[in-house]
Amino acid sequence: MIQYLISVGTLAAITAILVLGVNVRWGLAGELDLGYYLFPAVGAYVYGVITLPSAKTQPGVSYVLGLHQPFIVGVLGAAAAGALLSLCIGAVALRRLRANYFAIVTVATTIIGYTFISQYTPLFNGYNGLYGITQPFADNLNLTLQGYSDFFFGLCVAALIAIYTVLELIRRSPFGRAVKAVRENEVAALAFGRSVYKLRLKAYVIGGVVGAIGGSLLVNYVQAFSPTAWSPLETFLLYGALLVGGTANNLGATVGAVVVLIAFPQLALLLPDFGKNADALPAIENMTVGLLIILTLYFRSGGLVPELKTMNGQLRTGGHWNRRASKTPPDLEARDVAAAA
Amino acid sequence: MLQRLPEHNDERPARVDPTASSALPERQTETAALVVNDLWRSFGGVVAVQGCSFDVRPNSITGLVGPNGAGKSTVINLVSGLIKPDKGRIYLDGEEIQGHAMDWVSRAGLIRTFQVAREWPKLTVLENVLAAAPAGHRETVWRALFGRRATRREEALLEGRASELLARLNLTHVVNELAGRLSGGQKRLLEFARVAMVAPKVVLLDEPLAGVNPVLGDELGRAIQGLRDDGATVVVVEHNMGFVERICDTVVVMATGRVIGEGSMSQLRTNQDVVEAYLGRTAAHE
Repeated sequence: MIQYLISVGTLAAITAILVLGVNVRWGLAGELDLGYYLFPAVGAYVYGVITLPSAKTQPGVSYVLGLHQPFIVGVLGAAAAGALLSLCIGAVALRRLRANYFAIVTVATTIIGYTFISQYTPLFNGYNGLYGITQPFADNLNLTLQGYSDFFFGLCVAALIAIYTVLELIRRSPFGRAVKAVRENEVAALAFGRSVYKLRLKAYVIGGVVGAIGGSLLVNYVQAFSPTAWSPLETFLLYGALLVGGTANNLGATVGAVVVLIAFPQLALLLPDFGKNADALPAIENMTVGLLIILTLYFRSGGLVPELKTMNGQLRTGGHWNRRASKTPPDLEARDVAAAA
Repeated sequence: MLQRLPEHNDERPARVDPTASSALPERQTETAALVVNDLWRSFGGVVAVQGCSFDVRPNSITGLVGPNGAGKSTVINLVSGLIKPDKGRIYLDGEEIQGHAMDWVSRAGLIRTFQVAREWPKLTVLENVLAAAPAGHRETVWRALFGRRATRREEALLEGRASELLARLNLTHVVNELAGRLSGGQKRLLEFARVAMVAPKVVLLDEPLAGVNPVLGDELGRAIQGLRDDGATVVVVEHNMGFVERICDTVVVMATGRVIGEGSMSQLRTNQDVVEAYLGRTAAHE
């Protein structure tokens, strides 16, 4: 049972990282990226080809690189690939396209990426994908299977905490506030001198990097990655998790990931057996998860943890702010403000 | 033949030598805070602005009035960079700004408001004001992760200024409310707080009294005068002529996309073109 919970917890931590990436793009910046799963997938593939040995050592397999590098190099490579891909797509799609058109472009880009990766075998071994990915630090640690599962769970939780902390610092910073301002009213942000394009592109890249890091952990967990492991549709589950948890709020994103992608499917497992059709139960499980998402959104439209009011890095109540405000010198001039800025 | 306009870029333009500008013999480029010279803009077959020219004295309040369809809002949109002119020049403190994007123009010192208040609804009132302050180096990812102490220091200073402005506009009690929950009038006042936070050279106000009750109108009038007292030059597009007469030092009258009169309200009352533009030719002669 403990082993099972460790396994589920590991998946929950990885999924939470993926949803945090969606949250930066959609929750914070309002970029409806319907092709988000491309970034975890690219992160997974790039991690794979950096850590795997050369394809020449394995007959019938072909992929680029094969550098046989350690875990950390693989993760950094995946993050860099996520950033580069985000820059390429974002630089085009975010400059001129707005809202719906941007969403359509992201879907189209992911379909192109999915088809290319599936069909062009020399890149990531085509539809068969990458397999035989070694577990990080397994050789150095000499742990039992159980012990290694515990270690990898700890590694994923540590990665989640690190990414959560970084994203929380960003969300509470003036940069996060400016990105939210762009999301809330782009023209007003322009009118007050914000470069909307640059702010949106930065948020897009951050989301891509987080997604790619999540993907690199995911490929460690499943130890293989092929187009069957991901499709453009996976993105919608991540959005479902974010909406249920609460958008523009890292706590909500994490809670949503655990609830929708881990707890709901576990609840669906409690359903009784339906007939002798082997496909019936998975289908009913999927429908149950969908229904639970709809019910949660119906009864709690802001999500389980709605967007929090933050100010200058701290959650604020009226009293708290007023007490601080009364201590600030009232005679500051506009030029002081300009100097500070 | 349309004049080629500068491309959008993030570089500030070189300061224009007014003596070298042959295009502006009659405009006060050297002394005016804002100069609009021979501005043209059409939408399809409709020429909304045709040869519009006027100057705005520094540290003054100038009314931009005219009947519906006169092209006032289009001029505001052109000057603020929301849309590009087909032809013409705009100088802000002697620098050419036409053709640049709105964010660039804003950073150059010209801030505008809109007919409908454009607050950031899911940011609190205080956040709205802080987010309007010049970005400087605060709004970078690097600062978010590694420069928190400096950011806190600067934000404290900005919060002090913001709380002072909000108190002046009677918004202290809603400082932690989400801006989207404010009343229409409060949103207008918040807009003034945001503008004042920037300490701009020039402010363009597009129908600030739209949907505002008379009592609040007086408050907005004082807020506009407050902007001028803080050193800004204000241009107000407004239909309420009583309000314009009360707060404006100079009035520019537009009709059919061009300026038909400039001066004080008393001077304009005797201007036959202005009277006809507002009342129609027949009524004006009755």
